[in-house]
Amino acid sequence: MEWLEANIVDIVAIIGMVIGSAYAVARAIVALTPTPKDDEALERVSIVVRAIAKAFGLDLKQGVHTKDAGPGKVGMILLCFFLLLPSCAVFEENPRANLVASQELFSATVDSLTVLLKAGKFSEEEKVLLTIFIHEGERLLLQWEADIGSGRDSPDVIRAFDAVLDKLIAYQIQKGQ
Amino acid sequence: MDATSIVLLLSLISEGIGVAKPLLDLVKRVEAGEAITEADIVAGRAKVKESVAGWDEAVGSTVVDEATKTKG
Repeated sequence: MEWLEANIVDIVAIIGMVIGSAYAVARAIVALTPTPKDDEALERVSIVVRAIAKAFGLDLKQGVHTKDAGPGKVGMILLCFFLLLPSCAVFEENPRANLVASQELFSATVDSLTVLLKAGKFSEEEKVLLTIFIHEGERLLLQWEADIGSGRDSPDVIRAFDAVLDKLIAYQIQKGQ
Repeated sequence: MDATSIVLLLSLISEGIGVAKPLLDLVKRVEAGEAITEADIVAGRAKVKESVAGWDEAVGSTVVDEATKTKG
C-alpha cells in the first residue's frame, strides 16, 4: 500500500498515456475519412481533452504534472476517457465497426459502474435507475445489431443508445470523483 | 489516500486501460481495410451480456426486479 502511495505519480502518468491514446485514436479514425465534418469533430474533441487534462493537472504537450492530481481527480480524468470516442462519431462511415466500438464502450462502462457499485457509491434509488439504463442499453444494442443484420439504418436506435450511454458515463464521472 | 480509495482507483484504471486496447485494435483493422465480421459483433454481444450479468449479480435480484417493474 505504501508502495502505491509512493508511486501515484507513475499511476497518473499511465492515465496521461490513456488520454493521449484516446486522442491518437480520434486522430487515426479521422484520418480514415478526412471530411470537414470530422476535422471539426476532432478539433472539438481535442479542445475538450486538453481542457480536461489541464483542469486536472496534466499537460498533454509538456508531460505530466501531478502536483494537483488527487485520487478523485485521477479517477475523473480516467473516466473522461470514455467520453472521447462516442462524442467523436468517428465510426459513422462503418456501421459494423461503430456497433462493435459501442459494444466495447458500453461493456467497459458497465464494468466500471459495477466497480463503483461494489465500492458502495450508489444509493438504492440510483441502483434501480442505473439498472434500468443498463438493461435499456443492452436492448438497444441488440436492436441495433438486428437492424444491421437486416441491412437497415437505425439512426433513432443509435441516438437512443448514445443518450443511455451518456447517462451512464455521467454517473461514472460523478461517482468516480 | 486510504486503502479503499487506492483499490477503487486501481480498478477504474484497469477498466480504462482494458477498453483502450480493443478500440485501438479495431481502428487499426478498419484502417487496414479489414472487414468487421459477424463474429466480431457476436463477441461484442457476449461481452455486453457478461457485463450486464455482472452488474445484475452485484446489484441483486431485488433491485433488478424493481427496475423491471418500474420500467414496465
